[in-house]
Amino acid sequence: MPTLFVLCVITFFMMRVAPGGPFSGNRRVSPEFVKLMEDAYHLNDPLWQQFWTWFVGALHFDFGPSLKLRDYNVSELIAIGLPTSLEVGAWAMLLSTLVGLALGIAGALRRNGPIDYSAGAIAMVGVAVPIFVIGPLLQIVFGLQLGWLPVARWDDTWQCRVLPVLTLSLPNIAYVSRLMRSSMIEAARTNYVRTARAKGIGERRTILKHALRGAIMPVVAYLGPATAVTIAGSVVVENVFSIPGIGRYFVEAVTNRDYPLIMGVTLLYGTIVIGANLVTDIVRGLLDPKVNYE
Amino acid sequence: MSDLTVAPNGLPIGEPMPVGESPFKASARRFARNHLAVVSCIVLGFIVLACYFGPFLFPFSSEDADFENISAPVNLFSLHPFGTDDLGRDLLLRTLDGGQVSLALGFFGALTSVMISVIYGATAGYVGGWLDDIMMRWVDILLSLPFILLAILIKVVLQDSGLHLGPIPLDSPNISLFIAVVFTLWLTPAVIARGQAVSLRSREFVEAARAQGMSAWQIITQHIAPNSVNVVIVYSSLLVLEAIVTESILSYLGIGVAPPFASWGSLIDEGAARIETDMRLLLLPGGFLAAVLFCLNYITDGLRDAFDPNER
Repeated sequence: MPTLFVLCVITFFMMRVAPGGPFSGNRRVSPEFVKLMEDAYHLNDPLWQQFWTWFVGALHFDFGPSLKLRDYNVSELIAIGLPTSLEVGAWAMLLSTLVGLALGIAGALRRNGPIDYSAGAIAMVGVAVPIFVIGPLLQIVFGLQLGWLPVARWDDTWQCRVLPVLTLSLPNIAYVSRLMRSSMIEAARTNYVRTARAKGIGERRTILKHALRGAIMPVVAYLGPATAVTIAGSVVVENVFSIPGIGRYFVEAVTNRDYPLIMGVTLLYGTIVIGANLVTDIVRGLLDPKVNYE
Repeated sequence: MSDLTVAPNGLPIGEPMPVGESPFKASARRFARNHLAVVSCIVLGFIVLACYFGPFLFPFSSEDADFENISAPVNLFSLHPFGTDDLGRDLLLRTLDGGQVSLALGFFGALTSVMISVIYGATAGYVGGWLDDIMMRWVDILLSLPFILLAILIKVVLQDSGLHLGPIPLDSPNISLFIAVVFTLWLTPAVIARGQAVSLRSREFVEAARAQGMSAWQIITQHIAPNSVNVVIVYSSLLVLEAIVTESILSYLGIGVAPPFASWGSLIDEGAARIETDMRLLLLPGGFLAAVLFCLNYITDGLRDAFDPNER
């Protein structure tokens, strides 16, 4: 909560300290008109007063009107864009966790086998190649060459979702699979796994019930940062695939200096990241008896 | 105890002490044994040389339009080895020029953020107390945000601000881009440097310096910071990588380098818009960028394995 408040203060004052407002871009407008417009949106009030008005509004989920997209207020714009962004982001998180875990476990169990090497190659590509290169490459291969999937379109069909979700999840697939592989190898060497094996409960149960439980902790701890990575990625992916989500709004709002929209989206992103970190901590507490929040 | 031919240090009595290997030499030897990292260094070196000296081999510049050869195909033995774009500009030359911007920004961005983070971390770690709390709390908050958000905000705010720092115009598109990149970069090394500074604070040589009457600032700049640099420098190749990625993301989104200049990010942006007509516009800068990032990744891994005492 204090983090969120500090975030509000920083973004608000950073945006306002800089001269040059949303209405000063157009040279042909007279200064009197700019003054009038700025007065209408209370941009000439003392800064602390603007901040207070905005903050009280934000507590009621009212983030003010958008300065560029007339007739919309920020809450409406977020309400329009958020479901799309959440859909892509949630699928990407799910896919990256599941595929990352599977690749990591498979690689750890058959070390230096073909699966391990291909998982390593995928991880290397995912870590090294930025998503704004991977995205267009996938568009070329699956959209233009093979013609299986749309290049950049957004409607209700599942085909439109495949490439964005895949692109967005690749960096996290890479990271999760590396993390899982090393922690699984480490877990396989521990005494409790050796004991389980010695008891003769069978390889399958040893891995699923004993090794996995210990090895999955670093991956669970990574889910918070993974959310931040996904959000950063969604800003890019939504631009690559022309998806009407809040990542696109954010880039447009920043170039247009649409203060209320920037504030709203920043705050939303901050809340999601902080919330994800909180959930991660709680889940870790439930799964790991060693973690104790008193 | 039974073996009387062995001295307490485990060496046979009577033989001369072997000359010790310095920690740096040992680390360098470990690094040299990592073939992947060494090959990456060579490839990276080749790309850097190509970007900065390659353009001199061409009789024209990257902005020159060759109207005789518009959209020339790939022909490695012609004047335009990778062809030209729809304005007749040489694709390879444009990519190499873009590389100059990307690589320089990556290198100097990493260098600047190392300096800032070491001074910052050393100050927080050495002084401690409430100052440490405030300084690191601030870093924690910034670290929890998606870095791209920060970079975009800073870049745009600075660019519109009209601020000048002495003769340096902070509002020029490329300087504000540089500052935005550095600002997202210095946070993690600052945390690392602070950890090192905390462990140095109670060492004898720092105590001796204090007893001699050195001021806190002198101790930080002359003792703590120089001894914290080595832990951060291991991550320097990672910082170069992150600087290049951040810069190219911003340029890709259209808020990066300004038009007279081009970087790999802005070239990829141009190319991605035209994949249906000419994929080379995307593949060439994208390939160079990916190659550099691959190399930096392997070098980072190699450096960490060879130099980081915690990973051994």
